[in-house]
Amino acid sequence: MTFHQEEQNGDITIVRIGGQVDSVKAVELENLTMNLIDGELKGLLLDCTEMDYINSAGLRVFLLAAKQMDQIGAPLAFCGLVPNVQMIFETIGFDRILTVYGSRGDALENMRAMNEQSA
Amino acid sequence: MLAVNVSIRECDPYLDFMRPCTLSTKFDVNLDETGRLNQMVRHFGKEHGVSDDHVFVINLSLDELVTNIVVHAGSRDPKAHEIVLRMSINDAVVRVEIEDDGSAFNPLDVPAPNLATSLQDRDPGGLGIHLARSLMDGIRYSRVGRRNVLTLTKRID
Repeated sequence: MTFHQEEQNGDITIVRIGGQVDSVKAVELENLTMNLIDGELKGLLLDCTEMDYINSAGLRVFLLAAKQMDQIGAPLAFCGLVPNVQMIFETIGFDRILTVYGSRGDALENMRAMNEQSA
Repeated sequence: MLAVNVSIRECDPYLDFMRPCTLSTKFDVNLDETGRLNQMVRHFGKEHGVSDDHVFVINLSLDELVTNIVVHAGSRDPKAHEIVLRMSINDAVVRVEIEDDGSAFNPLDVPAPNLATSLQDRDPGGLGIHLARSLMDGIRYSRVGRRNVLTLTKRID
């Protein structure tokens, strides 16, 4: 698994997650993600373009992150899901409770619009 | 202690009318083994011309069920000491048996997660079993002697 935090893009913090998120790597994913989330965060975009595998241990981390961001009141979104990962999101109903965009451009545009509305 | 024995028989288009391609291996009861499991399933799929999408769902289902055995091992008496995996392809059906030597434990008893609740009410439990059940064509549990046996099937044509 890889986890790269990119330069801040305006209000939005972008992280690229890549490779395989299995039961062992999910622990690392949880630490890295939850450490990133604090009251200062205005928005978090998880770009999963390079993530070709994730199991329920990793999906649990996404759910925890989404709950935490929801409580803070800042948007969390996902983009670039490969077809199999998109299929898993749908199988467990994550497409109903998480915000997923096709491309990073779409995600940033929508997240900024949301932040402007709430400002 | 790491893997004990691994045997992979290559497919033979003539013999395989008679005998299915099989793989059989043992795993220790720890999460590090799920990485090795994934590699083996990918290798097995590649050797036998299974599509990447089918490998993905079989891999994920096995990962979830083996992870589940490992995670619950500590709370069971007797606890599982080894996991045996047998995988075969016959008539375009992949069949996998996952066997462990822990006390009786049927993961299929885990209630299905409620997928219709709001974000804050979503419980992260039960997702793995739900995935395996949804992605495989069939999963059956049986208690055979002192062993738990899960039998999974997936059509790959």
